[in-house]
Amino acid sequence: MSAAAPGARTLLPRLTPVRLAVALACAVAAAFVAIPLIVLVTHTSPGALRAALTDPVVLDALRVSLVTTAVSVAVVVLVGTPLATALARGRFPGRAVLDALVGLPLVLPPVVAGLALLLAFSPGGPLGQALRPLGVHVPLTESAVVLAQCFVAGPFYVYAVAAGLSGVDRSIEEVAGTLRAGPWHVFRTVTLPLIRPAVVYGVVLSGARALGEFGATITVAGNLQGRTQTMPTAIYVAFERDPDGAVALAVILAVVSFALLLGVRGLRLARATG
Amino acid sequence: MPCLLLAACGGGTAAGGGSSSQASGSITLFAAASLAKVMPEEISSFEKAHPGISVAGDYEGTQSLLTKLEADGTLADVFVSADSAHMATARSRSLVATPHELATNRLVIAVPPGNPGHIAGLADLARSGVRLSIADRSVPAGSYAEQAFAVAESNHDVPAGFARAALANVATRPTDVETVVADVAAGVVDAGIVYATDARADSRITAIPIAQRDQPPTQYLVAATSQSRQAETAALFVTFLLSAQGQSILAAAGFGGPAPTAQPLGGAPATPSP
Repeated sequence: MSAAAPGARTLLPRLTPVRLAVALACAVAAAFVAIPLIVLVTHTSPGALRAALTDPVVLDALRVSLVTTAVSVAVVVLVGTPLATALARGRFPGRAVLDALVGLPLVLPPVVAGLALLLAFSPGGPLGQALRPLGVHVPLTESAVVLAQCFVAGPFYVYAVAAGLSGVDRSIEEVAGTLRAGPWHVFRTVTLPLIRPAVVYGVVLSGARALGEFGATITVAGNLQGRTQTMPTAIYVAFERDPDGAVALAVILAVVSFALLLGVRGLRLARATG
Repeated sequence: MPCLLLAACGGGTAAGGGSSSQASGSITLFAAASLAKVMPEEISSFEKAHPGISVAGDYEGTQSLLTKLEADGTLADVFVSADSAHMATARSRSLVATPHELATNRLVIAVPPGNPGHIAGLADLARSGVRLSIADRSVPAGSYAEQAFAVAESNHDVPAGFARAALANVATRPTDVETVVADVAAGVVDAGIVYATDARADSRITAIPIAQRDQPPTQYLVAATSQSRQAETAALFVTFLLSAQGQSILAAAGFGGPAPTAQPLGGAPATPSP
């Protein structure tokens, strides 16, 4: 970070108005996120957490959430990487439109996204009609959960990777190209290592978004324990029946998400230092 | 121009306040989701009869409304539940004044346009491959549906094992009956269990009746909340709902009147007691 003055790192930085303002902003941001979460944790008890962790409804919801999120991230990486490459590198008509279209789910309220997916994949909708001869029925199934997660979480990955790609010095790739390496070989051995932080960042962001997805999921995938009831859906349903149980569930989801974020961060650090 | 509008508004409010000094201002109504279409009509008639009073309606699953009321008893001035159990809970926690029976309803099987699942009656809901939407167990409409399945089976109106097979066909358990209606209307399920009034209010769905003897005792109860800051206005609105005018609006929407006797179990001899 402070490559300009590596020697000054061990000393306490001199207090300037700018540094004070930065520190203040950091403190406000940290408190803003941490305080509600701490309140959430203090609202539950070890007993309630234990009860929640042995509740079959919770275990089902955790399993559904983790499996669907893993599938969604895989789909997003598979489809999103070429898409990000096209957006960052491609020179084709309609690139700006495609770029905006990819980001649309970011600003769309998730419930609207869910409704749009539901209408498109319902038996009367264009995609539902196309899938009908194949006997595929998407709404209210596990596939619908994945669909909703990919829809809302995809842009986070695509934009992160596209940003990473636009920071790559193309002359390095060109040099590799002159050494008679094929484009796929260049991408794998030169480009990918260069954009790895962006890819990891995109995976973490989209994975976290998919894990917390609720509005689109409940609209297009519904709510059925063991099949389509994810952790966020289970929390919503529990909130109406048993608010204390819902808080315990929320704490579990927050801890799982935090562990995932921290774990990936640790992985990056290990890779950077190792 | 803005001055004129303000003056006109102020004058109107003053006149309304003058005509009945004790009943004025705005109150909030918490009513079960199945009343979302009829209550606005009740409110506009009430507001017409009492200038200076405005009623804001919040329509959600009864269980959600009760959860909100438990969190803060001043959130609503009038509470209408879609079953007696939730009202009894509200009463036992001193959240409401004496409840009155407001109306009754009937359950029907709702099917999408064209009836793709070829549903002719309850028995068809247990057929393999049929997809159902039934409200969550915590929602009155959901527990009523489960009751109806069990009663139909014990009345031998459907083959043995029906209730179990039908519940195994459930593809989603939404947290309010309006979502069941939406699932059926979109055709993402073959059938759903809704109130007769829901089916009547939505032209996209067709209702298939359920025999009277299989009907659970659906009851809407109304009460002013105990912590209402506008107790007089709240009482006035409750009186209006129970009046001939209020009842005729409910009847026009397809709701049944309160049971002929005060004790719901006393009247009909054929009604099975739960």
